Amino acid sequence: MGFFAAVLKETVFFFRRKNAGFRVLVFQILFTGVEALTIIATLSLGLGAIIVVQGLSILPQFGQGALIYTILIAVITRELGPILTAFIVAARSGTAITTELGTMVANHEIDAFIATGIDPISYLVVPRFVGVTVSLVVLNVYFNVFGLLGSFVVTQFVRPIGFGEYFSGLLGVLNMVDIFASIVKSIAFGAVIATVATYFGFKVESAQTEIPQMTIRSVGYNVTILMLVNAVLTIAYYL
Amino acid sequence: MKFRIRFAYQIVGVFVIVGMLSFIAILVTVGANQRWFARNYYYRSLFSSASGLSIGMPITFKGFQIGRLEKMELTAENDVEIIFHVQDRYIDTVRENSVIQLISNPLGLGGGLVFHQGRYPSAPPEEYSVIPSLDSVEARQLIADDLVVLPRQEDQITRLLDQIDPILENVTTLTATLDIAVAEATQTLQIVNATLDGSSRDGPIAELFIGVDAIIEELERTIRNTVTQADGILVYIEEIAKNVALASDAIADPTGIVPRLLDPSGSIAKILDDDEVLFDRIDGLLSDLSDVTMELADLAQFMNRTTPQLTGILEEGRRTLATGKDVLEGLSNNPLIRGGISTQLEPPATFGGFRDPEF
Repeated sequence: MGFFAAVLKETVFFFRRKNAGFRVLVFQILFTGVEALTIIATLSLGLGAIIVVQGLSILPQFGQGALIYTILIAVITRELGPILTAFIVAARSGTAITTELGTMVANHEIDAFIATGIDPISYLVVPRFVGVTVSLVVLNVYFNVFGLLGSFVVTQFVRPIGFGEYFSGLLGVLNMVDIFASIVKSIAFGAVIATVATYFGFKVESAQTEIPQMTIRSVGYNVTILMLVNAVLTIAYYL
Repeated sequence: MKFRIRFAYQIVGVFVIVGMLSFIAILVTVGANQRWFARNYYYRSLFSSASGLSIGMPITFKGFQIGRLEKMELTAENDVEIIFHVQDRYIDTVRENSVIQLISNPLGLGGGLVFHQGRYPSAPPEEYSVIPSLDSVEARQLIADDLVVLPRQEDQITRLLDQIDPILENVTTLTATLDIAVAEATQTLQIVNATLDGSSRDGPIAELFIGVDAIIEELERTIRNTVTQADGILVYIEEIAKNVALASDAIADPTGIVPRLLDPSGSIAKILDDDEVLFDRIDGLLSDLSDVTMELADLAQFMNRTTPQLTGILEEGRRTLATGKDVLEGLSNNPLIRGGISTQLEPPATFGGFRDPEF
């Protein structure tokens, strides 16, 4: 928690400084967000398609075909969108961050930063923290866009309906609370992933063999904490 | 240098900007679709239970969503008060005497609050005024007064339930009626029992029994009189029977009048069996009589035709005789002859003649 508080504190100062950390931030977004866009888009398209196919084959039997919009919003926007994006980012970028920082620790690069008066949290952690969080939020938006668009494309094969009718029904059940919950989850998940990944990167002490161990622990902790945070936020949504 | 490293800033910029623009577009579209900046009108309603109600439940009118349930709470009177809004574009739908109905789907899916409009156009009620729920006494009174427009139910189960409700009400009414009838019958039987065992002589049933007793006594007297009269009648019948027996004996006697009448050698048979000579004579007499009658009829017709002429001739003759008489009297009274003609008043004739005398 102390590490997380220090990261938050330095994050506040990060936006006041025009330092080299901005370049790190840009590259972090590039590696975490842009490079993950393909897999996120594929995953969301497939998920939307599955929901539409299953929903349109089951729900009309009960005369509740219109519930497909509610299910799409609940699954893609509110629940699976943020958590799946977080899992992918934790698996890709979380491990990369832990490995990178662990390697820097093992190579005594962190000692060099400290020796030259550069705060490693300010220069190494905060850009990654902000980059991962921003990437997760943007990726979540793309996940929703591709997921809902993908479901529309699949709907044309299962039960063709007009673009206006589809999005009118979709936007009819999408409310501000859903969007707000999705964004809050993305921010929280991004903060968790970046904090846990950088923390376990710095947990490497000297040996290179510690790096994969910390990476594995980083992934394990990330998944566990993400699920806990998701549960807390979901419960808070219904309160 | 790799392309993505070389143009990292541009790629990341596009990635973030497109993502943010998409997010803003979604927000704007959702806001426009859900009328975030539109005015909503709030109303209250009371339900007996919160079962089937949920926050955010849509309120529909003729299948269109016109609002949502915003809030609900239990009041001090143990009623469930809900607050719902109606969109400004549908506010004209809300009239005085409108009611709201909770529709529950038997499968637990769907359902919702259905708005039923008041029958007569009016300005929308004030905000936060109560729109009664359909199961409330107030709403039932409005429906009984035909002040609410209730559409036909299209749901099969609801339609069946609607059909069952009147039947149940009829059954309830019938049961209540039967209860009353059984109570009255029990009371009647008690009175009858009391009357029969003589412990009670009051009431219409007792009076009825007293009347029945009087009728029975009168009937006994009548039967006695009838029996007495029947004895006298039997005497007459015995005499009639004796006479019938005597008549039978007479008929059975071979020397009686009937066998003689039927005897083929008797005078009647001889008269009748004469080769129709007697019949021919009678027939000839009747033919002659018919001819005479026809001649008399012709004579009578002739007399009828000639009567006016004879009357005219007789009248002319009478006048002639009167004139001759006057002439003779004049001659006898003529001073030159015997003293002249005396004045004589002529009575008016009853028949004017065929011609006017002055003609």
